[in-house]
Amino acid sequence: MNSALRLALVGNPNAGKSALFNALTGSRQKTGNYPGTTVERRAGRFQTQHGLEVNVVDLPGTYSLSATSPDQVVTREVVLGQRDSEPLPDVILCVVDATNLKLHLRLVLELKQLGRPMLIALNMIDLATRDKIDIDVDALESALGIPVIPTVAVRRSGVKELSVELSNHLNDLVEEAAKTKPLPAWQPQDLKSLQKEAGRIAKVATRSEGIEHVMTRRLDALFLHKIAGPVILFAMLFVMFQAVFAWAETPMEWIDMGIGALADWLIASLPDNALRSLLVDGVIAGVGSVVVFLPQILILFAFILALEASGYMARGAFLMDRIMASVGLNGRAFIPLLSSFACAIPGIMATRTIDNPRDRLTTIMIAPLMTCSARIPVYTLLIAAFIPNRAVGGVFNLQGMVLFALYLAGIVSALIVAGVLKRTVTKGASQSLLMELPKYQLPNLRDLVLGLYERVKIFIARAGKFILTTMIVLWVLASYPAAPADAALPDIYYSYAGQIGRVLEILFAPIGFTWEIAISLVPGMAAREVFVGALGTVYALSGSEDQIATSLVSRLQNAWSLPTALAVMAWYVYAPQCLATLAVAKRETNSWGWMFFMAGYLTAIAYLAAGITYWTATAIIG
Amino acid sequence: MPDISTAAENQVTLADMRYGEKGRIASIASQTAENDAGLAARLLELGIMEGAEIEALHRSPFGGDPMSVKVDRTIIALRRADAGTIIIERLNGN
Repeated sequence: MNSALRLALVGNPNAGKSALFNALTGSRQKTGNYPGTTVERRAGRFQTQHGLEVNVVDLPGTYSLSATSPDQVVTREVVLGQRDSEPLPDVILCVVDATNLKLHLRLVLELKQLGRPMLIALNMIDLATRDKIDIDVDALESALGIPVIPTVAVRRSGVKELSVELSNHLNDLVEEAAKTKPLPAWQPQDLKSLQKEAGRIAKVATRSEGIEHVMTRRLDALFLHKIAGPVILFAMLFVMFQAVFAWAETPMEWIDMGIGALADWLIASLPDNALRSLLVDGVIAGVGSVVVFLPQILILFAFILALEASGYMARGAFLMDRIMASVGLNGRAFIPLLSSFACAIPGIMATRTIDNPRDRLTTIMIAPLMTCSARIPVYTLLIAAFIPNRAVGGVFNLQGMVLFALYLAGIVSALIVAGVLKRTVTKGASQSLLMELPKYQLPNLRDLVLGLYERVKIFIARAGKFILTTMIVLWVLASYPAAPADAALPDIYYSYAGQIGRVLEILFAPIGFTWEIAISLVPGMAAREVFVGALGTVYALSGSEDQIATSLVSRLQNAWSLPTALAVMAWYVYAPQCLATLAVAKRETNSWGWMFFMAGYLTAIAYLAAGITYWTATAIIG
Repeated sequence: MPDISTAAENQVTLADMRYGEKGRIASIASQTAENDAGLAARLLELGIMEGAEIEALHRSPFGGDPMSVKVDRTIIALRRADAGTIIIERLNGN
C-alpha cells in the first residue's frame, strides 16, 4: 500500500452513497470482489485540493452494523479492520440522507462508538430544501461532535464543495488517524436506544420538519394503484423487451458484419492451416458469439439501472411479491429474473441483492429457465422452418404465438421448479418481503453511464474469457481427427465431436433427435446460438450465419419431421446449453455440487419435455 | 391526540389499517410460526419499533398483500403476515 489516505464510504441503502462515490472518483474506480465472497468491492482514487491522494472504498449499504446479509457483514468487518484483504480505513465518511435524518443518524451513532476519525456527508440537501426541511448544520455538528458537510451528490457543484471541505478536514484527520488506538472488541449495540437518541438529535437539528415528499406520494398512488399499477408494470416490461429486440437489431448486425469482415480478412491473409482455422472458427466465432449480444445487454441494463435509480424497481418487486410468494420466493427475486431474459449471467450475478441464502440459491437455479436472447436464433430458425406463417383468429400470427408459448413455457416452468425446490432441496423458512421503497428520483446520467460501463466490463470479462477457452476446446474436438480422403459425410462426422455425437445419438434417438442434431449439440454446449452454426457445418453449408439460416430452413424442412423440430424447441426451453452460465452458477454458489445439480435437473427436464413433445406429436400426426 | 394508555379498544394490528390511517406502534409481538426468525431485528433496522408513528399506505393489487407503510419519512413494504404482529394505537380516530 502507498501512503494515500484510506477513506471508507458508509451509509444506509438509498442514501446516495454510490452517487457520491462516482462524483468523487469519476472514472478513476474499479470493481472487483472481496476475496472469498461474491460481494462487490468498489474502490477508487481522488486528489483533494491540498494535493492529498485519497483511496476511497464504497462499502455495501447497510442500516446497521449488526445486519447479517453477506454484503452487510463485509461493511462491518471493513470498518472494524477485521478483513485481512482490506486495511482498516483511516477515515469513515458516513453518508446521510438529509430528508430522512432520524433513521440515518442511527448508523452514524453506531459508527461513532467505534471511536474512529469520521465525517458526515449530509447528502441530498437540495431535496430536503425542496421539501422545506430546514436542518441546522451547526446544531447537528455540535450534537454529534462530528464535522457535517452538506452535499448534493448528483450535481458537480455540490461535490466541489464537498471536495474542498473534505480537503480541509482530512488534513486534520490524517494526524488523528495516525494517533487512533486499536479498536476495542465490537459488541452489537441496542438499536432501540440508539434509535431514540437519533430521534432526539434529529429533533434538535431540525428547524422545520418540512412537508412530505409530494412526488413520491403522487407517483405511488399511480404506480401502486389497483389497476394502473399492474398495467404500467407490464407496459414497462413490454417496452423494455421491445427495445431490447428492436433497437438492438441494427447494432447487432454491424457487430456481426465486423466479425465477419475480421474473419474474412484473416482467411485472406493467412495460409489455410490449423492456426487459421483455430483463429477463425474457434476464437473469432466464439468470442463473436458473445460480443454480438452486447447491444441487447447494454439496452437491458440501461433500463434496469434507470428503473433502479428512479426508485421504480422496488415498486416492481412490491407488485410481483404475491406471485413470487406463491412459489416461496419474495419480490426481490423479480429483478434477477428480469435480467435473465437478456442473459442468465448478469441475472445470476444480480441475485446478490437477495439476503436469504436459500432464496438466493433457488433464484440462481431457476434463472436459466428465463428465455435468454441466445435462444432466439435457434427458435427463429426452427419456427421459420416448421411453423406455418398464418393468421390465427384474424389477429394473431401462428409463428408469433409459438414464440410466445416458448417464453411462457420457460416462465411457468421456472415458477414450478422454484415451488418444488423450496419444498425439497432449498427447504426452510423463506424470508418474507421487508424492504424500503425509496423516494422517486430522476436518474443521474453520469451514474447510469458508469454503472453500465462497470456491468458490461464484468460481463465481457467473465463470459468472454470462459467462452474463449471452451471454444478452443470445442474447436479441437470438432476438427480432429481429420476426415478420411474419401469421406462421404461432412468432416465433423469423423471428429471427436462427431464421435461423441454418435454416442449421444443412442441416447437421443428415443426423443426423435437425428445424429446431425446430436453432433450439433456438442459444439452447441458453449452457447446456445452456436447450435445454428453447428447445424450449418453438419449439413455442409458455408457462408454467413444469415445465409446458413436461410438455406438451413429448406434443408431442415426436408431432413426433419415436425415432431423432431418441436422436440428440439422443447429441448431448448430447458437445456443448460451454456457453459458460461454454469461457470457463473459455480462461482456464485461457490459449489461444484450446485452447478452439477443445475446442469443435471435442467438436462433431465429438457430430455423429458423433448420426449413428451415428440411422442405426443408423433401420436397425433402419425 | 387520544390518551394512549386507556384506549385499548382503539388498538388494531398494522395489517388491519386502511390507506391513510395513522397510528403509533404500541408493541410488536414476538415472532409467530409464520414469520422468519429475526423479524423483529429486521423491522428495527428500518425504524419499526415501539413508539414510532406509522401510516398505512398502499396494498398490492394482487390480494392486498404486501402493503406499504410510512414510518417517519421512510416508506416500507411488508407482508400482511408480518404486519399482523405489529400492534398499533390509532391516532386519527376509527
